[in-house]
Parts: sequence; C-alpha cells; structure tokens
Amino acid sequence: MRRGRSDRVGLHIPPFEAFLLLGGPVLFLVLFFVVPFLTMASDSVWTDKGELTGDFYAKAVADVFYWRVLLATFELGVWVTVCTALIGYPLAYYITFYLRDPLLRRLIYIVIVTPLFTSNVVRAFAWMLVLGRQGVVNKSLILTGIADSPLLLMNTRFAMVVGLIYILLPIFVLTVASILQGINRSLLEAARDLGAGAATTFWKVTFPLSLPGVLAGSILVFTLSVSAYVTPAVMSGGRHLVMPMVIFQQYLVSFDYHVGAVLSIMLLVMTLLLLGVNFYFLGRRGKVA
Amino acid sequence: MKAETAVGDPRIADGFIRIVGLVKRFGGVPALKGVSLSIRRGEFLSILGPSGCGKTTLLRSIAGFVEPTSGEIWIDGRNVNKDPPNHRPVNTVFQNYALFPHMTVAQNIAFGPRRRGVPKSEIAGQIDEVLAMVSMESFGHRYPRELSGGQQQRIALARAIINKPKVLLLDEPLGALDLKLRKRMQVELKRLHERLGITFVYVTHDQEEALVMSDRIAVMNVGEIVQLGTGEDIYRQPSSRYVADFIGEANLIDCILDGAGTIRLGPSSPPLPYKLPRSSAMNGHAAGQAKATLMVRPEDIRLGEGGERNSVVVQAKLRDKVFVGQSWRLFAVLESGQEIVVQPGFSPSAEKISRGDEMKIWWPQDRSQVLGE
Amino acid sequence: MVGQSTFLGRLPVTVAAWLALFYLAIPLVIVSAVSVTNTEFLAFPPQGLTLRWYSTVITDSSYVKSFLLSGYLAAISTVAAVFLGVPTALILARKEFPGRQAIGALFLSPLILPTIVLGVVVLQFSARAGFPRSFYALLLGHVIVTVPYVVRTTLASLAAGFDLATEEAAQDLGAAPMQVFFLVTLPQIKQGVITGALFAFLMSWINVEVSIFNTTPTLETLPVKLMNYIQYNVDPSLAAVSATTIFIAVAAVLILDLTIGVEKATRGL
Repeated sequence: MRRGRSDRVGLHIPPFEAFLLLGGPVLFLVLFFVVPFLTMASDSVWTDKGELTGDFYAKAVADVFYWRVLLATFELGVWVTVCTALIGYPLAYYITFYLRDPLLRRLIYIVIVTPLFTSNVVRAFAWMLVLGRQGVVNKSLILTGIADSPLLLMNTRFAMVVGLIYILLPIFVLTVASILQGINRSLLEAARDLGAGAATTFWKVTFPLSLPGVLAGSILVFTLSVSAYVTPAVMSGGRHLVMPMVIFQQYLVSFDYHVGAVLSIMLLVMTLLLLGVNFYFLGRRGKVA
Repeated sequence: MKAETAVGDPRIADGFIRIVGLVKRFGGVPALKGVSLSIRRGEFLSILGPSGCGKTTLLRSIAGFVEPTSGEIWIDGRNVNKDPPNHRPVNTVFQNYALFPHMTVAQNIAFGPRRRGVPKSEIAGQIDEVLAMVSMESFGHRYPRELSGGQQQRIALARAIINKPKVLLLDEPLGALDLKLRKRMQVELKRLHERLGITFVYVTHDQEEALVMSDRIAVMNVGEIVQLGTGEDIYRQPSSRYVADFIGEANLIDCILDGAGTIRLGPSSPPLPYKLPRSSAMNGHAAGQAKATLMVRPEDIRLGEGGERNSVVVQAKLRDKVFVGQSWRLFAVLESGQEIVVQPGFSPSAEKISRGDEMKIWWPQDRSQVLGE
Repeated sequence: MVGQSTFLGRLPVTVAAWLALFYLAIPLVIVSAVSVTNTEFLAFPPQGLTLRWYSTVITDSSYVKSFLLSGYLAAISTVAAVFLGVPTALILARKEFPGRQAIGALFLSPLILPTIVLGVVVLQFSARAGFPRSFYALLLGHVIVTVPYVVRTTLASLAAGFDLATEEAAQDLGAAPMQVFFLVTLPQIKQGVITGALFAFLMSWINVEVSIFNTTPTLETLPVKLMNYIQYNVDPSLAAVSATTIFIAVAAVLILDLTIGVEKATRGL
C-alpha cells in the first residue's frame, strides 16, 4: 500500500511557531534585499529631486554605445556557451558512463570542483600566466620556433572567452552529469537489445534524454557569462567592454547611478528571460525522465 | 452480524476507543465518509481493506497525524481531537518501521521513556525486558541498518510497547516481510497481545492476516466501514458482494429473483430452496424479475445429490480440474454458463470425474447466502 | 555492457574528457608552481625554489589584514546564513501554505541575480541607511549571497530520501516538535546543513562582485585586494597569495570528499 506514504506529513510544526521560524528570515530578506533592490530599481525612474521620469531609460536606449556593449555581451555569452557545451558534454559523458574506478572518480570530481572554490580573480590571474606576453603559451611557441615573437593573447576577446569557459565549465559538467546519471540504464539496454548500434543508441536515446539537461546547463552558462564582471574585466584588460563592466563604471567611476540602475535592470531582464526558458526546460525534464 | 455491531450507533456502545462520524477530506476528496466505530478495551481489532479504502487515514486519525474534517475521537473517556500526537496515549508501529537511523536499537527504544522523564536507571531494565519480549536480547548496541527487516520489525514493536500505551496502532507492520516470516510474526503478535492486554488496532490489506489474529474485523471500502464482526461472522455471513469477494474465495452466482421472492439460476430452471424476506433491496423489482447474487465458498460445495436436509442441488458440467495438494480443484459450468470453483476436499468422486462430464453438485443451504450489491 | 562503446567510440570521448580535465587543472598548477620561483618576475617553469614570496606576503600586514577580514567575514556570514537558512528550509519542506513557492523562489533569487547588481544594491542601500563601505555593508551583502546555498542543500536533505515516518514516530513516542527537530530531524539532515555551510563559507570567502562595491582601501577583502593589485602590478607575491587560496580550496574539497563525498555534495549544485 504505497498511498499511505504519500500522506505522510512528518514533523508537525504548530502554526505560530512556523510563522516565527519563517517570519524572521523572510523579514530579513525583505528589509535587506527586496526593499534595497526596489530602491535601486527606482533610481532608474526617479530623479534626485524626487520626480518620476523616463529620461534615464531614454538616455540609455538612445545611446548607441550601450547597444554595442549589449551586443558584445550577448556575443560573448554565445561563444562561451557553445564552447563550454562542446568541451563539457564529453567530460560529463565520460564520468557518467566510462569512469568505473572509484578512486579515479573521486580524484576527477576533486579536479572539477576545486576551481569552483577558487576566487574568480585567482582563476583570471592563472590565465594571465598562461596567455600573457611572457606566458606559458607564448614561451612554448617561441621555444619550439612556431612563432618568432609573442602573440597577443591576453586582453583580447579570445582571452575573455577562455577565462569564462574556465569559470563555467565545472557548473555545466556537474549539471549535465547529474542529468545523465538520472537516465534509466535499462532504456539504453533496451535500445541495444532491439538492435540499435552504439551510435544509434546514443543519438536516438541517450542524447535526446540528456537534451533538457544540456539546455538547462547552457542557459545557466549563458546567464552567468553575461553577468560576470571579474573575468571579463581582467582578461580584457579593460579593452573590451561588456555590460557588467559598464555598470561598474557607472557606479564607481562616473557616479551616475540613474543610468547604472537602468543598465542593471536591462541586464537583469536579459537574465530573467533566459531563466524563464531554463525553468521551462527543467519543468519538462520530469516528464522526459 | 449480531447486536454487538456498533456501526451507526457507537454512542450507545461504551467503547474504549470511540470514533464518531469521522470525516476526512484531502482537498475535497473524501478519504473517510463518516466512520463510526467502537473498540473495546483489550481487543485486537483489524481494519481490513484494499489500497485507498481509507484504513490508513483512519489509523492516522487515531494517532493524531491526520486532523479530521469533522467527527470525534474518544480514547478512554477523553476526547483527543485537539491532542497532538505526542500527547495521545497511543503508540504506533509504522509500516516501514521508521526506526531512527542515527540511533542504536537501545537508543531507539529509550526514546519514548526518556521523553516521559523515566530515570535512566529504570530505562535500562525496561529495555532488557522488552527486548526479551521480542527475542532480541543481544541487539541493543546495533544500528537499524545492521538488522534484517524482521529484526527491525521486532525493534519497532519493542520501541512502542515499552511505553505501555493504552492503544497500540499497527500500520501494516508485516507488509514488507516474506510470507514465512509473516506467518510466524502473526502468531507472535497475537501472543504478545494476549500477554500485554493492550488494545491493538491493526491495519492490513491481507485478509488472512486479519482472520488469524483479530478478535474482530472492520472491513472498509471507499471511506466507509462496510462490515464489522468476528472473522467467522464475516467469512460465513458477508453482508455484501464486496465483502464476500474480499475475504476468502467466493463463488458469486448470478441468479434471478421474481416477485414472489423465489430464486432461480435461469428463467426456466427449478426454484432454489431459499426463502427471502421481502427486504428493501428487492422492493424496487417486486413487479418483475430482478437479479440476485448467491454466494457459496468453494470448499462448501460437494459432488453428488446431497440428501441432507436443506441441501441445494444444481446441475453442472466439468470444464477443468487441477490438483492443488490437499484436494482437487474443479472448474464447473452451470446451466447458465457461469463458471464456478468447487473444492470438495478429499473425495473419491472428484478423483474419478473427467473433463466434459455432467454432474450434480450441492451445498448446505446455511453455508450459502443471498447478497445484495 | 551499455556504455562500453558509443557514438564516437570510447577512445575519442576519453581523450576529450582528459583534455577538458587538463584545461581545468593546469592553470591552478601553474599558479602554485610560479609562487616558488626565485625570480623577481613571474616565471614558469619556476627558476629555483624559494618560499620567500610566501614570507613577503606573511610579513605584509595589509595582506594579513585582508586575509583575516575575509575569513572573519566568511565565518560570520556562514553563521548568519545557517541561522536564517535552516529554519526557512524546514518550514518550506514541512508546511503547506499559500505563497510557499514564492518564498522559496525569494530565498534562491540571489543566486540568479547578477552578483554585480547585488553589489550595487547593497552599496546604494547602505549609503542611504548611513553605513556605506563598512563591515556591516559587506556582511549584509555576503549573507544575502550565501543564504541560498544553505537553504538549497538543507531543503534537498529534508526531501530526498528522508523518511518522514521517523519524525512521526518521534512525535508518536512523545517528543514535542522542538525535540523532534533536534533529536531526529537535525541528525539526519546534518550532511546537508554542513555542505550548505561549507559552500556558504567558500562563496563568501571568494566573492569579488559584491565586496568590490563596499570596500575601502583600509577595509579590503582578500579577493578585492587581489583584484585591485592585479590590474597594476604583477609579481610573484601575487602568485603566493593566489596559491594560498588554491590550497585552501583544495583543502576544502578534500574535507568535503572525506566527510560527505564531493560527488554527492555537488549533485544538483
């Protein structure tokens, strides 16, 4: 009789106690997160004199500079997402289906997770050592005679992409691996049993079943890469602007927190739209698996 | 059913546990539709029914985990509707034992006494006592994950009875055990019940389990108690097709009932010797012919002409027979074309008969019953 | 055996996977190696072997101060995140009430908000409330960043694989709700809470985006100090500090692996 289990309620917390336990944290978040957030957002429509205005939006929208930055940000996001997916999927597949040795498995998980616990600054600095004029790549190229003089690798869009992939790859791999783990192995065995070859089994069964995870992971990677500040700032050397860098400048260099608020909201809306799509796919995941 | 049946009027029956008009709806869906039940002190009462009949909801209402939509629950003269589970004089043995995985067996068992403030020195002795009762003396230091299902089951029992509750609620406690162990535990539970004198309320979907252990059985169907009585009462005199079918094996023979209260197998068949009271169920069809169901247990049917007083004899044809160990099991077709099962015990004629043979079968009239729907 | 051979064959997948792992590991190895170079500039492979850059860092009081500030900030943020996050997760997991989903979303929303926007929000708010660029502004931002991790891991441990019947059994045996929580619930969700707290600590420890808006030259967290330093001056002392933080990350991952298992702890991160 399975139904009895779904009726289980577990710990019964009296209403008043529940209200207190949840009320405190909610109050904290409302006072120190929701209200401040709305205050910040209101800067985009209120002047310092307290008048409601659409001028700041008009100013931002009319300025072709912001559109160019937005486009560059979007472009960067697409590159990072595509490359991360291409690099990450085989790794996720490998740890799910091929990796048997438990010790090696633990080691590999440690390699994947350690960067996540390292500051973005340190990770960007590490790439400076690899891609800089005197970096590991240039030195090797010169040493082997492939290049005569150092290539310009740092402070380029290429460096920004490499740095961001590095930040986001672990997140993508963990997301996709957890989806692949969830695929019922007997489905794959059934496909083989029904005469499908290895390739057919992958393309007709495994891949379609992992697709929601790939999409969810990709959208996560995209949203995180368009809202990243540290990595693009360090890897570009300030030469190629993306939206978070412009927001930073508005607040800490030009002190224009009205336009800053407008740009913040633009970035947020872009993120939320994509997360809506993400949510849609994650919601469908249950039906697929 | 005798006068003891308290369905409908529990306020008169002075029960140890009294459940009055209990209704529970889960988001509009009724799980209990006004259940009334009176349970005696020291009784072993089983609540029997299929999945989703509301039996677990009823048990959980007594334990305090389900808040009834309406109705009352009284235990030993106290209305416990407002009492949270930790203040009720009942303990539960859960379906999958619900042992605390992070505590040893001894810590699990000590949980209840410690909450009641029993001194530690006394608890140790009590633990030994209940562990002995369930034959698990040397297991105090083990963790639940180190025990088999049957052993966990005994610990769950020990953890509940150490508190000497007024009522022990058991929610399909043997459901996860294999058949052999289940049968042994049935006997042990019954002995434990006799020894402790605690009122047991036992929820199960296994009719055999209910028959073996219970003083009385309440059969439930879609949120209602449809029959309450001793196992023998319910087996011999089921009140409906549903009960007859649910408890034991039953042949439910379709019959025709005419206005005079006469029953036949077919329109042109001879009348069967049943005298029906003109009960309300049949009034609607008094003018013409209506359907009725005749219930006979396979083991009550014999081969031959009968001859005893009140024997019911019908014509049948053998379709199939199989040997099932202690007897032959015959599949016979009646004139109406309906197939029934006959299991006549040891019988030379059952041995001789072969497929396609015409035969006469009979049963004592008082071992059969005409049922409403 | 399924998975023994697949779409591109086992070998190419394995090679691609190991290249990706190499990509993940190498930069951190290089930083660690460079930190022991006996040169005035960043050299890889390191020339010579010295710990002098570490001693330079240790004797630099501004680094030590930043290090201590970051550790202190992370510790306080984690404690606050646990005290806010665990009760929240408990109620969300055990109570049915209107708006439950919305409150759950609210507590996880700092994760999806671009962190730089969060930094801005804290700056603007603390300026208006009269405590800009202070420890409390930093703390506020860090608590908001870290609470979601505690809520998420605790919620997960209260749901998946948790036998609700054990909580019912505890009540049935006479435990009041508080006793049920501390005696039966908490011991069973311990791993989730610890994982959440560890994540919270590390996410605060490595945070740049929120901190950078709320620090001053005398109140600088370690990542912010590195961020400011990196843009002007690069020498092996920077590698020594960076390597130290990498060792801390490795230590944290090892602790996680030995206690809970990295794979388990990061599932559904």
